[in-house]
Amino acid sequence: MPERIDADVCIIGAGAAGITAARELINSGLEVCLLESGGFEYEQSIQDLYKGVSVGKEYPVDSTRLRMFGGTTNHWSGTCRPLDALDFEERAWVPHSGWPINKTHLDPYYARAQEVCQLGPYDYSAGRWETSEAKHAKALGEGIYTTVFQFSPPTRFGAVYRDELKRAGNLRVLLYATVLQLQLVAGGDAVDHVRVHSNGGRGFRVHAKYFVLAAGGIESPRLLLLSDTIQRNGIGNEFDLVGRFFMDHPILHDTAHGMLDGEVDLNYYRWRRKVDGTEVGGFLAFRPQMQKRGNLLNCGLQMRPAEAAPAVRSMHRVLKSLKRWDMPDELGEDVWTMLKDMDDVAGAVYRKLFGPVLTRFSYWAEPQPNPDSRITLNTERDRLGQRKVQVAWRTTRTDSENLARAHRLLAAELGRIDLGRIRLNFDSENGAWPETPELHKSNHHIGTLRMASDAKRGVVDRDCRVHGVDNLYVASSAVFPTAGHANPTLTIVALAIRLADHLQKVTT
Amino acid sequence: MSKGVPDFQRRALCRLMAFLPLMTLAGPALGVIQPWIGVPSVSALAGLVSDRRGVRRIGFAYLRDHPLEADTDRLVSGLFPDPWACRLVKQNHSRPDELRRYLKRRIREDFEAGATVNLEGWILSRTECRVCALVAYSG
Repeated sequence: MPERIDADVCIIGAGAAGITAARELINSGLEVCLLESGGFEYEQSIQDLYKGVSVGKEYPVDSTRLRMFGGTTNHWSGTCRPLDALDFEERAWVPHSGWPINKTHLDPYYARAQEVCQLGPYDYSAGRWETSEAKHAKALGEGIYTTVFQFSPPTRFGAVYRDELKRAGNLRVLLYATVLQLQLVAGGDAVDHVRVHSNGGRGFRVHAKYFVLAAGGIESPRLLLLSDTIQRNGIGNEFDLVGRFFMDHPILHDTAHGMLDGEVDLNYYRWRRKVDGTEVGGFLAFRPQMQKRGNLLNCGLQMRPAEAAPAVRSMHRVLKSLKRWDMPDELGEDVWTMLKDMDDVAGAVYRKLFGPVLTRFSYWAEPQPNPDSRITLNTERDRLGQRKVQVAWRTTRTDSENLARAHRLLAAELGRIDLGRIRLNFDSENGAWPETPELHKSNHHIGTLRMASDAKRGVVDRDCRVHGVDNLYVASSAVFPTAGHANPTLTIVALAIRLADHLQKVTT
Repeated sequence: MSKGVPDFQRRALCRLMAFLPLMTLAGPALGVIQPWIGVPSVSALAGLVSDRRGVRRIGFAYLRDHPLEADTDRLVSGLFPDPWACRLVKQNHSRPDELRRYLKRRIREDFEAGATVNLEGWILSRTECRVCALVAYSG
């Protein structure tokens, strides 16, 4: 390995963002160097470089990320959805909200990202994914609507795109290449090179005209904070924003049960069903006017069938048989089971006649951007002598109150149109996260190098360029100022495509 | 908390939802409470409901949480707060359609206005709860 490598573009990190940016630059005429800390397979000694410290709410710093070629796509679930238009807007009831770009601007990149993630068409409307056996609930009123996730196979970016990258004549992929620091020029307004540790022991430098930091929402701010030889607080950190606004999507299951009109077809809301070769899952969300009226953070609600008692299952079997004009062999047993619990049977009879559908709900939500939820550096060091990352994941009262607010709005809307009634499975009065159901993380690392036109409000500008550093860009969920409720990968890929297009423009 | 819908609540609510289309007949049945309406008794109304047990459970639960409403006059005036509504009950006890529409509208307005009750987790319209409470009084 030479001591110095030169390139037009140096991409740091070969996860979804880095591999996408690299792919887009194939045949661009630019010499691209893609650096990845790990190899093609998981290795504990490399993974240990992700170890860090969690303060605040308990957070799994290393186990949710994979330090290898393909990054965290090596274990992601494949759940994809674009952000909503409202997610990009500045909203009076969501402090620190607002992107310098809007959804319309990003739509063409989302459409291209669909293909990268091996998804179906760029269409998340409910009607597109109906079949004769699965219909979405049309009579949801003005405040709630049905939408879908699409599921990637999931695309393991490293495995799927490895050969393509290998064949690319203008692309050099270096594994076991751990970037230790980004070194600025003396004036501090550009990156001169990155210092790289190689497993072989000898380090080297990569000099490039442009650098793309694609190391994820935790490692990217860590690298900027570690790069403190010229800017003592770290690169891009003049206004103490690097690492702040760390967000993850809270999820809770079985937050409520519902009895809904029999017209509601839960088949449509099954988490994964195939339509025209694409796996989709339907769920409920709140329309923009409802979010505004209710001061609501954006959120989603999944409906699943609630468990039926044995007597109800017996009833279903009997009725199904009678419908076919044959009697089940175990009719005697079914009758006995039914007699043992007439209440349940009466309920099932009611449902047959009047049709309430029993459901249970899961909830996930947009996190409130919180500057005190942040990534910093700990005093502990890894085996390369680098200070470890410290994660302080902090939610706000707004986040926990949103849980109750969303469910009360759901209950009110469904009651208003007489579609059903909701039972909350948590104390909705005290405003704190309940002990049950338990609060889960989604392991999405968002917001730590947020995008804003004003350098005092963000780390990167609308082109994802670090403010004050002419040739340094970020491709990561780190740049999201707000997180919506959708999983971030599709947006990460869309922004990486957009960034690659931008780099091709600025280099010509 | 079990994964299934809690038994009491689910069974009771099944019955409430069976009762709901019929509860608009409650107006006429209130005659036993307010003789001046001069309409059939609550027991006659209650007989229309296949099983009053669950509906009464909701009614008692509501009254337990709202003891100030444990008064039939207060419940009735809560359901029919204005003279127009009272006249409606008087005039339409034998033609329940308009009364049904009135109560359905009240329920919808309850949900629009946030006039809801959290009854052991169930979010119900206050109007629904008051009707259940009246049926609870019917014995």
